[in-house]
Amino acid sequence: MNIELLLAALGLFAVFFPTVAAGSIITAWVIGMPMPEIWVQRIVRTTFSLVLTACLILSGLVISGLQVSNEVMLTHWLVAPSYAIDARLVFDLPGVAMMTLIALLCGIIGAFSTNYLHKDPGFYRFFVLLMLFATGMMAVAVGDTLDIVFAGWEVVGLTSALLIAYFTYREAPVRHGLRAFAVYRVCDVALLSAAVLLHHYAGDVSLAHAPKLAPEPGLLIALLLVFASLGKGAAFPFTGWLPRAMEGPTPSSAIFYGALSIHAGPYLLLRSSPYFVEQPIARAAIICIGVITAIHATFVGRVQTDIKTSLGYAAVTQAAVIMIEIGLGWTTLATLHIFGHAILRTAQLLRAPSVLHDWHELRARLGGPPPKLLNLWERTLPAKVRQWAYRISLERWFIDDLGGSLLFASLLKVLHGVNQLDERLMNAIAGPSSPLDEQHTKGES
Amino acid sequence: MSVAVDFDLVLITIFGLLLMALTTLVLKIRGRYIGTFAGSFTLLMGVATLFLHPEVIAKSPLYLDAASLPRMAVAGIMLFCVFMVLPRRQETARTSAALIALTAIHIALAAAPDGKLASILWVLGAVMTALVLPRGPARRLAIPYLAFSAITGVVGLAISGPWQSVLILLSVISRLGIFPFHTWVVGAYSLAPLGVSVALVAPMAAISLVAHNPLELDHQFGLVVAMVLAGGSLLYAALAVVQKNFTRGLGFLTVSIETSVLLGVLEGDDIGHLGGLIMWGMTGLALLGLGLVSAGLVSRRGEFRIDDYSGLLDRAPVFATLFLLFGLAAVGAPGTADYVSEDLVLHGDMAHHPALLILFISSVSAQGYAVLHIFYRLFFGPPKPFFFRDALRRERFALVGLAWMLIFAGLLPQFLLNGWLRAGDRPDMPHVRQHGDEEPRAPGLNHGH
Repeated sequence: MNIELLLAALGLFAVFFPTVAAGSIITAWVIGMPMPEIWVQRIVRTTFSLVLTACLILSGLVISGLQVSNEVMLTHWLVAPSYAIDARLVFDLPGVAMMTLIALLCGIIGAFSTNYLHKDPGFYRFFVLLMLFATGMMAVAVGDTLDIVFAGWEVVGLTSALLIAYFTYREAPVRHGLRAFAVYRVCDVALLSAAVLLHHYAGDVSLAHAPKLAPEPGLLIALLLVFASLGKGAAFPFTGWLPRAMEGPTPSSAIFYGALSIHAGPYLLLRSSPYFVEQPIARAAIICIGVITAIHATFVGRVQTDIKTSLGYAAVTQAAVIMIEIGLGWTTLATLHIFGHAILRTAQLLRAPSVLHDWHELRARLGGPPPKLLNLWERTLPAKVRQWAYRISLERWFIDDLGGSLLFASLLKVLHGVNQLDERLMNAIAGPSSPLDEQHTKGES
Repeated sequence: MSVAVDFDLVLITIFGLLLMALTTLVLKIRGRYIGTFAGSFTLLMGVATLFLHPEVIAKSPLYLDAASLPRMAVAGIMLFCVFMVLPRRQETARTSAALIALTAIHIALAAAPDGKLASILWVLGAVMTALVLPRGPARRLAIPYLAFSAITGVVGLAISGPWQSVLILLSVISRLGIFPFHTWVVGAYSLAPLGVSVALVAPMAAISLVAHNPLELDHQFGLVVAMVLAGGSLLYAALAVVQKNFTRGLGFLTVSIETSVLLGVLEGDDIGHLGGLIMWGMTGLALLGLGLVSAGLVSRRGEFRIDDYSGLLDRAPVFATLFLLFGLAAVGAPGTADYVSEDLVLHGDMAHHPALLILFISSVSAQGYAVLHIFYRLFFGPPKPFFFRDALRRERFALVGLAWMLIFAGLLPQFLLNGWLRAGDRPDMPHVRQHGDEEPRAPGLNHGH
């Protein structure tokens, strides 16, 4: 069998099979025959087992180096006169390794959640979104063109926002889901703009090979890619949404904000690193943002009082360090860092609900409280500086207040003003309603 | 089948629809029966016409191209879905007849071979739109805008020179309710029965006037106009988020999306224009789906407040799923037909102007946020203690079918694109500017007939 054909078939299967599985659950529900939980459980386990097997075979093929090229053209997805969008995947080592990681972690989360969310009203919703998320992440992992990466990127953002608001009957998670989605949308503008400009200036949107670009467009595209990565990576100044996103169920927090989604930003930078080779300004921007984010998240994370938020900030710190590594050109280290961090953070977040139980067990086994081993460097600082650092960290560096009160409150004030003007204009033209009008207008309710 | 019969398929559809409208009015037939029949008939004729050879189509007395030919099929789907989903109280004989007649006028307007016929149809469309709206504040609000649109349109089509394009543009944007003429559309959504307003607005029939050829605007002036329109679209998306009432929020979201579609259709570049035409059809269908789901919700419990949470998810999960699907499809989410058309639009002329490009993408992005904001406010939050019935069987049939169509076209977009390319493949087609070519296309509505 042609090795490229095998790669394409396995890649296509790994990317789309979770969506097919999600589609089967949705279809059963739409036709009024919702599956019993046990069936969903079997579907999830089978899906991720098969996808993981496909990913392992893919990894084996890529490591063996039998294929002629890493890039596999699936099809010309859209061919218009003088324009085409190709469905192209790239199976290089970081790509297939990321696919394997996605399949493995999604499988673990799937298996964990079948018990964790047993009899929960949102049981089906969770698994449908988890499988769609897997497809989105797979597309980001091995999509060769920015078009495919963008499609996956959007799916990841949407599923993330919907899972943060998983507990739909509580207002706080719903509000936080929207907040996260707002950040994603702002950063998505940059990614889509980069894709279009790349098409325009280079005619190709391959991430694997950076085309020769003039300095100005090259810098613009590189900076847009950097900005695009900030939202999902929860980098400064967009860190505020991530701890709030922990309002979602623990398994989704683990897969999104500990393991995979948080690394989507750095991974995008990693994949598009050829575009930064000749752009020192863009690299410097990555490093600066990484350093600021790491310091911010470290300080703020230290003063948190709940385990999930602390872990959230710890994840942001590590994602920022990965950004610094990419900015410095240490891409292999960054790749390894992503894998190590994703696995560790998943384990920590999945254990988070039992942390008190673990603590008591540890205490019982030791026969008393464990010794304090922490020797934090900030304890060497003068008391006043420590107090000041503690205060501003407790307020999360006032970023949310500044963004919320200065930017959004002013914007909302303007929008409400415009809306009031419009309502007055409407009332002036339409005039007051008469009882006869009411009869005609209220055809409903 | 002889060629002579093939020529007249469009005319047969137009006159057939007018006859059905008249029959409905005279015999007081129930709207759902005649409307769904009219929709199926138009869809069938539309598909049949699309499959005919372009050379045969080119000999028709009407001007049939990529802008006008696929409109028949789109109009058929719209008519069918509207009458399947429209609440019973709203499908009166008068409203049903007017909606069917308006569909005939829209099909004819899209294929009008000259300015005179286009003027007549333009005025007729404005009159019919006013008549479909119920007597009261919604109609009073719409009349000045529709009158302005009719006058500027007729004058614009009659004169030539630089003012022609300006007047036609003013006419189109005031009919569509685009910046700064949004008040009547938003008012229609909040003051008139929602299902009827959606049926009037979603087809975006006014785009017909600028769909065949781009406007002849000075390059700099055109760019400024495009920036203003994109800025207006962004503003409307933001205004949708700050509304208290659901129907007003939906109205602002709709005009924001309409602006994006118009910007796509107005592109001078071959690819961008083609994307705009597909966007016109597909976004129209998605907006219709979104509007009809909303009409279904409002018809059950009246107006909803979106400055609070309504918690409808548990009671109406099918409506919730469909609302999210159509909302995302209308703003070009991946996997839906609009994603493809938006992609084509972005790779047209817009790519030459990074500032316009970023503003346009920002407005689309804000629309996406507005969709999710309204969705969360309607369906999430603590459940309220009231009875609420989820989608009925007939509603599910029409809306789920429409949703599947949008997804299918999004996953396999080449079918869609081939349909539009085939429709535009005219031997006498005016020179269409290729990607990067600086030559402008033929102006106005003079197609050589």
